[in-house]
Order: sequence, then C-alpha cells, then structure tokens
Amino acid sequence: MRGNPRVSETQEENTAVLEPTALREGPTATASGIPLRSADFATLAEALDYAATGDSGFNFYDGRGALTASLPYRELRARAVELARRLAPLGRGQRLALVADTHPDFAVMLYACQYAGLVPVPLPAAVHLGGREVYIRHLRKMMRDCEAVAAFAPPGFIGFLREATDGLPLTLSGTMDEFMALDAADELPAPPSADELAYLQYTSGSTRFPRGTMITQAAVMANLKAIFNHGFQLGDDDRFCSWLPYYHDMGLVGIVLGCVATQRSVDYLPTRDFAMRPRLWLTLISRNRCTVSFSPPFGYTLCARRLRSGDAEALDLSAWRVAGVGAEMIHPESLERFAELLAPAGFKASSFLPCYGMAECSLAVSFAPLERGASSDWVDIDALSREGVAHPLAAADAGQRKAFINCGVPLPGYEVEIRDEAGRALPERHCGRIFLRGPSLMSGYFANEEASREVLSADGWLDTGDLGYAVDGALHITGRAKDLMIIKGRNIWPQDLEHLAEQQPEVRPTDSSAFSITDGDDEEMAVLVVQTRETDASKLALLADRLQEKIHAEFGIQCLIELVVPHTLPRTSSGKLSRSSARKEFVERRRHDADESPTCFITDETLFRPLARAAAPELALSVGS
Amino acid sequence: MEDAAREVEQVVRAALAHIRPAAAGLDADADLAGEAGLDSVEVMDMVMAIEDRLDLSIPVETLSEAHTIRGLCTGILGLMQSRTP
Repeated sequence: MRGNPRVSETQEENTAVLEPTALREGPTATASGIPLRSADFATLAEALDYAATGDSGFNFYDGRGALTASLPYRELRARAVELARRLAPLGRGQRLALVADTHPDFAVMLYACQYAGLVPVPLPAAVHLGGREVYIRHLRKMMRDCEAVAAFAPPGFIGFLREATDGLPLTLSGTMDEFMALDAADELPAPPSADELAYLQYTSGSTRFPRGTMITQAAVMANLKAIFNHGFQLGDDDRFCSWLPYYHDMGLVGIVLGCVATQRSVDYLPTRDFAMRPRLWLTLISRNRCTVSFSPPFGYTLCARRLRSGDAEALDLSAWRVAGVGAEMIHPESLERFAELLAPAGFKASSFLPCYGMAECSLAVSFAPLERGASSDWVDIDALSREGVAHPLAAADAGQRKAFINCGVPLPGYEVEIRDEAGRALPERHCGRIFLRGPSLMSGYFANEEASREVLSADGWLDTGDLGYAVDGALHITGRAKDLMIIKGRNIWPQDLEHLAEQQPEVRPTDSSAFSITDGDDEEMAVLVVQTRETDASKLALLADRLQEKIHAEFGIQCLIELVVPHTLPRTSSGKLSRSSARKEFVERRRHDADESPTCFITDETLFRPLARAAAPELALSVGS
Repeated sequence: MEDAAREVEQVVRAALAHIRPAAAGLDADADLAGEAGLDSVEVMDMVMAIEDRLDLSIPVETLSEAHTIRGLCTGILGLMQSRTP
C-alpha cells in the first residue's frame, strides 16, 4: 500500500538480522555443556570468550509467549567480534549510546563495545502515552551528557533516536545494519584491561540532570564474582528468566552481564509485554523450569493482582529457587500475598531472596540468607520516629509496629557504616545514613566532579543516600535520606516535579514542594503542593488540570496536587523550603479535612476519580525520615 | 473506511471504560493520559485490551504520539490499513 514501503522495509531488515537465530527450533539448553565458572574473569569480554565455548545463551519471547529469537553465547560472541572491527575506529574509550530495548541486537552491541574498547551507555527504552517529545528530550540530554560519538537503537526505537540525535556531532546514529555497513578494521584492538571502563550507566537520577556512573571492568567483575559466589551460588541446572529492563542495574548487570559471566541461559520477556501481561512471566518460568528470577516488589504485586482463579493450578513454579527482590522498599505484605496465591503452583515463600544495592556499587551490596524467604524485623514505630532506634516489638506488646525486611549482611570485601547526621558511626539498631566501601564502587559520575564529590569521599566511602539500621550486621532499609520517590516502580525526583510546577505562569520560583506519602495500602504516592496568588476557583481547577497533564506526560504517574495560598509552605531558618515539613503539614491538613478550608484547593475525587483513595482520611506518614 | 474508524473508536472507548469507567465519555480531543487519569500500568492495560480486540500489536512509536483518543484511533487505523493486503 501507498505510504508503507518504509514500514515493510524496516520489518524486512529486522527479520534479516534475526533470521539465522529465529530459524532455530527451540530456546538454548539449560546445561551449558562446559564446567560452570562463577564470574571469575578479569573482564566482560573474557567472560563471553568462555561462555561462547558452551551451548547456553539468550532467548527472546514476545507478548504471546512465543520464542522470537535465540542467541547462543557462541553466536553472540561471533557477531560481537565481527561488529567490534567496525566500531573500533570510533576511538578507544569513546562512548556509544545504546537504546536498551530488550532485543538481541542490544546484546550484540553491548559486547561489541567490549571487544572494540568502547564504553557502552545503555539508555532508557520507555515512552509514555503521548510522551514522544519528552522521551526524545531525555535521550538527547543523556547523549550530550556522555558525549556519545555514535548511537544505536533497535528498529522499534530508531525513529526516536534519529530525532534525538538530529544536529548532534555523532559519527553515526542507526540500527545494527547501519553499524555493520561501517568500514571494518583489519584486526581487533587489544582487549580492554581491568582498569578501563566497562560501561556507563545512568542512575535513576533526576531527568533534568542525568548522572552516568562510571564502572570499570574490575569493579563490575568484582561485584559479579561476589554475587555469584556469596549472594547465591549457581549450578548446572540453573536457568534465568527476566523481564527487567536492560537500562536498569538489576536487568543489565545482574541478568545480561551476570548470565554471560556464569554461562547461564536466560529467557527474556520484554518489559512492555510484562507490564501488559504479567502472568506471562510466570508462564515462562513454569514452561522452561527456570530457577532464578528477580523483580522489584512491584512486579510481584502486579502479578498477584492479575492472577485469575485456576492460574496457579496450571503453573509449575516448583523449580524457582531464587525469587530475588530488590530495587525498591520491600513491603512484606505484597510478597506474602504472591506466595499465598502461588502456593498451589509449587512456589515456596522461602525462595524469596531480598537484596540491597545500587548502580553506584555496580549492583549488589547484600543478600539475605538463602532459602529463608523475606524475614521481617518488627519494630516500635514510635521509638523509631522519635529516637531513631529500631526497638523490636512483639505482636502482643502495646504500641504500633512496622516490619522492615532483612536484606542480609554485606558481601565479603564490602564495608557498611551507618552514620548519624554528624557523620559518627552508629551502633546496631540505630537508624542512620548508610555508607558503603568496597571493590565495585563507581569511579564517579561521568563529567560531573561536583556530583561525584558529593557522594564519594576521598577515602573511598559512598554515601548511598539510603536510611537503615543493622541487626547482627544485617541491613534493614527504612527509607531514603535523599528525596527520591519511587512511584509504582518509577523513580521520581521531587525537584523535577517542582521545576515543572514553577514553569507555569501562575507559579513563582520556590513556590512548590513535592514529596511522597504512603497511602492506606502502603503504596507510595506523589504529592505536589503549589502556592499561587490565583483565587478564582475555575482558574485554579484549570491550573491543577494542566499540572496533572504535564506530570503525566513527563513522568507517567498520577500525582495528588494541592493548591494553597502564598506563605503556606514551611521554610527553614535559612529561607529554604523544607520538603519534610511540607509533608508533615500536608498530612495534618488532610487530617483536618482540608476540603472545607477556603484557603485550600485540592484535586480530589470530584475532579480526579483515581485520587479518591489517596484523598481518604487514612493517610499515614511513612516512617524513617 | 468509516466503519473501521467507528469500530476502532468503539474498541478504544471500551478499553478505556474497562479501566476507568468515568473516562468512557471523554471528549475525543481531550488529553488522554491526563484527563482520564491513567498511570503507566493502566495505560498498558488499555493497550492490551485494544491489541487483543483488534488482534494487532501497537508499536511504541504510535503510542508515543497519541495525546488524545482521536490521536490514538488515527494511529491504530493507520496500522490496520498498512497491514491490509
């Protein structure tokens, strides 16, 4: 049909690239056929060299659970080496931006960078409904920040990439085919050494000021080695399943790099398909007898919500021995519900493996003990919020209690200190800021010395920005000292919401404050309080409307918006806005039924139905900050 | 052609109504995400319902350009036409 040759061409290109693998009959075997080596390699390239001598590899599934491609490590290496000869002329140590969609070409590009001595920079592959412009702006910002010399996207994302790189001084911005058409160097350059950068990973930082963590070969290999020797050990029967995005540390480092370094086969479900059909994750695990799969708590909650009666009986999850949980605060209830619903499928609650980590440490800091499930430490909420001490409180005792999950003791070779505000180390059960030292810390944020200095001290301590306490050395995370909010698995920085509000003509600079509250279901919800001189009710409604729209387009979340008269927001003695006081006062106002207050206009159920629950009076402050 | 357009709009509205009943009557040119109040998981729910009903896969590019019900319908119609032999 007219107007479509471009579409079919893209599809053909896509098929051509995948053809050799797509024709294979089934997924790669679980048994690699070679002796298992647990990430004891000096570099990522060396790890693939070894994995390529076996039979295991990556497998890609679509939204209907059908295998679309399999990429044995043997073939991954062959293709990566071939491509590396074409990438090498881009210059050693230069950054190559990769839109990290769950696609075989991404894996080939990632490892080609390793053989070519380039630094791959995975970029997000997630767009909101109607979010084209916003996404393109984010991509562009990150590519400028990392000074990329070239950029890659798989066919589904190439349109975004071309627009995002328009006018940037790149050698090439294209798909795999275009990179393969570059002139090839006669030989491969020397393989990267342990002190060269393995990749640059953008943290869940602010969208306006992205921060790329610089991770060396030595750092990432040290972390992988610790994870797969001390976090949990693997055997010949172990097989991974993952829907985690390739642009997050858990998906990229833990699964993509981790499975190559341990020669394990993986079954990948694209994140987008998981979001649509979460049960497919369980179907794949059941069908392929996968033994290891990780998810943020959010993923388990989503699955539990979507299960229909009879689902559990049709699944066999008895092989799933490591159900990793990390990347956000863990609430025990959601895991309990998941385990309960899937017990008939043979899922064991003891398979839950809580862990703690961050991109600045490559990936993992600690794992809970294996085969014990998620164990909760019940503490007195009152004592915690008043004195910062986590006193154990039994169910029979008087007083309100809250559970925190045991995330285990730090991996060998890592030191953790919990410090008070003055920087003094705190004893056990005292809540403070978590500092970390170890062999896999980032070298810093790329081209951002100031931000690096803020979190990394000269003597090698990383300020994680998380709050927690230790019991017998085991970490329990209670919250975040930094203001990062995590809404439905999405990381949101309050300053980004505030910035957005202050772009509106009715709002002046420093007239807004964003923070999160925990609703009755223990879910985090974003709140934006905005001061405005506007008094006309219909104009206020329009402003709230516009804010809601913009927040959705930019961040993909719903936000509770409260419009208040000037001088409502609390300031510190130095005149700065205090988010924690703003939150406290907000909760107070809601308790006193702010709807009747003439000075306050709030988005509520009459305007925004989805917010009805959050506007209910059972709002509870989350503990810890 | 007009029949197809009507069918697509019906499917889109039905999918929307399933997730957010109050949004079923939303103006075709109203900001879809903002006014309907969908979060990212709910958007994926809606997309899944549409994909299942029409038996097609909606590319990310199409979704990223859909600000309104009308925009989404136009995008989906384009996809349907492009695969008609």
